[in-house]
Amino acid sequence: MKDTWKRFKQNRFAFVGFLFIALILVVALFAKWIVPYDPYFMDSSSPLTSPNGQHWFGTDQFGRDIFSRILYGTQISLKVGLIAVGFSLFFGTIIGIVAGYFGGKIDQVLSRITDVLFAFPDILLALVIMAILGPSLTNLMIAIGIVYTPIFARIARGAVLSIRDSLYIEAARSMGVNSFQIMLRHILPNSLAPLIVQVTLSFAFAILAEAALSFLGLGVSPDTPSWGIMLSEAKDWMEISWWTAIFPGVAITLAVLSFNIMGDGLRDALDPRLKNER
Amino acid sequence: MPEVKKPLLEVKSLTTSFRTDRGLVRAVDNVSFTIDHGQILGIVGESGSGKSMTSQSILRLIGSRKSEQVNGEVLFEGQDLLKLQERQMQKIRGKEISLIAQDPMTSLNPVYTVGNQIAEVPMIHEGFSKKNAWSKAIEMIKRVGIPSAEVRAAQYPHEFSGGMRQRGVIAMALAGNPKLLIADEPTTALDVTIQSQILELILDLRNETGAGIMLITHDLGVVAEICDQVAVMYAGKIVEKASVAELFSNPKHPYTQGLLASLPKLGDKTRLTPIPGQPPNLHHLSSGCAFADRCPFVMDKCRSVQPALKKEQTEHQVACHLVNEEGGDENQ
Amino acid sequence: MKTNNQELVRVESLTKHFTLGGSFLNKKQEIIRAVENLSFTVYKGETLGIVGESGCGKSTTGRLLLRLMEATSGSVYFEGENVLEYSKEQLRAKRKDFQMIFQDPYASLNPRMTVEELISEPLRTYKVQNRKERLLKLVDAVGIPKDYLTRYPHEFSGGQRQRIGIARSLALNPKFIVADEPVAALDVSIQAQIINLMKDLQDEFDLTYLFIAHDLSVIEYISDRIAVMYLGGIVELTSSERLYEKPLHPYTQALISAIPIPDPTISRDRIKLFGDIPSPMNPPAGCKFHTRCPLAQDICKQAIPELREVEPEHFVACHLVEESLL
Repeated sequence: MKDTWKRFKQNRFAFVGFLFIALILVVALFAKWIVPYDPYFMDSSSPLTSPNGQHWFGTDQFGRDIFSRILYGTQISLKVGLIAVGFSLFFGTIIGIVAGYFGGKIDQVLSRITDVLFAFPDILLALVIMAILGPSLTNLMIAIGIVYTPIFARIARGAVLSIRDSLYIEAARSMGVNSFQIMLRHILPNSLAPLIVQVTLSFAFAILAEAALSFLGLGVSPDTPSWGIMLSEAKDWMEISWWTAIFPGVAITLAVLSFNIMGDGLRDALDPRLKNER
Repeated sequence: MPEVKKPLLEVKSLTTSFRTDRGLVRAVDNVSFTIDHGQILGIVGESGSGKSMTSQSILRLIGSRKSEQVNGEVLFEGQDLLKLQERQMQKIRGKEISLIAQDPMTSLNPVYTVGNQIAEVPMIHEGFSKKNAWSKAIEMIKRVGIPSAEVRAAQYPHEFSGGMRQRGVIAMALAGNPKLLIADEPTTALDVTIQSQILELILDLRNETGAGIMLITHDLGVVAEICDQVAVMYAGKIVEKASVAELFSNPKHPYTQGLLASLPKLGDKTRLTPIPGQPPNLHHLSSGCAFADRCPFVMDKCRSVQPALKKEQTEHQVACHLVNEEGGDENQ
Repeated sequence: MKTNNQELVRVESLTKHFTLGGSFLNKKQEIIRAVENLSFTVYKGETLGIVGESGCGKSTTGRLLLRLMEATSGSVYFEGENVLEYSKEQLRAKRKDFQMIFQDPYASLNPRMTVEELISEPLRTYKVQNRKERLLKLVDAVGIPKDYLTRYPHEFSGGQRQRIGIARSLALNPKFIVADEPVAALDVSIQAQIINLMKDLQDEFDLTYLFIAHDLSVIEYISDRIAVMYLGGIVELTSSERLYEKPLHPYTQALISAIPIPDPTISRDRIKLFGDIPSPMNPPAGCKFHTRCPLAQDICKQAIPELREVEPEHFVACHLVEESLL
């Protein structure tokens, strides 16, 4: 672990991504005390003001402070990311490990189900699930979670297959260790690296998906400060007030980029080929 | 007696070092030896002794990266290989000097037929036409003792058994009529009955072609079978060098003695005498003799001063304070 | 280390076939006859060596005995009970009596567990009391210093890792140990350490070994009796002294004469074997060795030779063995 962290820190690019994510986290936790204005407060006297000393990022059509809404937006993005990715990580890993370890019929059934889910385009699948469940933040998170479950299942299954036949698993079996213990103590810890990398990458996707679904009006209620909603509302005002669209757009891009480069950096840092050098 | 002939290969103070995360590692340390035409030199050592690094340094398969450094001289027929351009070196590899690697599966390309791969050598190095190169390939396959050569030449490596594959690799190595063969653990991946076939083949080929052979192995039995001279390596250095008959009848370095004593002998059930301790870690070598921690005869001097391979008049050289002091006085 | 001929393990007609292919798209099935009709006995306190070249089925045999692999047919009696008929629960309860030492100490230890976790795992699995005490006794027995308990496998050399593997196998006080090429991956100078250790532990803990190796000098040194395998069957079985002094099967003779001896003054008459080992997918009819046997006759191509006791405690599967005895 120490080596991994050392290698990760040497990758400047990924480290900047990591710092930015840390910043987002801090902002989300302390948004209440940081924001200059109440993000829900509509100042009817000053709608669509361009960025200035009082409103750094300007205001929207209801006179709400865009800077404050973007800071609050971190909460929605992280919440969706955390819960949706947590959902897919949990279920995907269980499905993948069970399928990979037992093989045979169990594997056939589970793998075919994930294959079917894989066949749909991500957003389309999320749309279908949302249409069935109805629009709400919880359902949005479940939908995104279901969409990304197959990725985790496939990664976990692949990792299990590559170590299932290794000698130390056979050694544990020869000592009478039962299947559950083998999965928990031997297989899971040794397949963690690719899963961790996928968590960071999926986090970026989840933030994007939340924005896209909210943009389409399927996510959170319209007055919630979510980056996707802000973009969606800005589309009518973009031509006369660019700042309503640009700032939420930049926020989404930066957050997604940070998670992506951190994911890449983690993958390099965890790469067993580098690790095994003697 | 006047010197008549230059040796085929003369390695002088070869030193190969690597920069790693944990510091500089000297994998080959001041190694010198010669190989004459028609001579088989065995290089024996355990993992981490630097025996394979030595051959790779000679062939310049290492040394091109920034973190690798190869110093010293490798005189092949008087020409220093370490000073050649990479392009000149390519002409020597495969033509003048060939390598037989340990794993025949990785030395053959799975998507080309064995015949094609052998034919490639005379095509590249001697400008053979495709047709002539193919008949040369078949000739080589016959020569290494593979039956029905014409059929075999058109087959892919996976259609060959392990022993056949190694014969194929040897055929490829011989196709350029090399003057020097470097065989790196050529039989380690093979079964005993196949091993004895391959060793016999190597001996026959040496007798026919007069090529010099550098045989790298961990197996003292293989050395005793086919080598003329032997160099024992430990932690990157040659610790003992002698003719095979001399080394086995009169091993002088405590490490060589230990190696021989730790082998189980057929028909002898007395308790084995292992060398105590663990193999050396090249990252943490002391300033003294690398074997000092495991040596039963260790003296104070061994822990601080590195023993040098002493050049005696005899052909038996040892790098050990104990040996060199006992017989060393008369030289001072 | 003379045995009292008390039987610990008896193997009867053990057979293992692997099936290749036969999937939806590829209907053609191929059968690998890894082990065929194997019968032998392991006596209490002895070391039975199994030696043979690649593909002879020696590793498969070891795994079948411990039921790490399911046999196609046959029986394995351990203290009189047929292990192959055990239910999953019975098997799990019995596992502590028969353990394995693996070839590759680099691959058989989970890289993410410390030495303490590795050796404690079997103890925890069987809810052994006074685990710490047992742990310390084990590491002491195999010569691993106590202060290394918190280290990970990659911090050790090959020989030390094999010591850790051995400590694990001994944790549950087993009666029977299958050692599958335990020294093949080790350097020569370390091999002897591990062989000596295994001999000492055998005396100390009353162990019975099935020692599998391809190296005849190692097998000959450590074993009381040796079974020579070729293409899934035993061709010769006798005491190690007898096998070395008077091998009767032509394959054993060739195998012994092929070992390179680290003594250049010894020159031997080599018995040359031509060709390669046939594929177990398509083994020769009759005696499986006849394609390479320098003595083969017509009968060898037709009839399968039985493993017969040709002199006391010396079993050979060869039609022509009477000629060698003369």
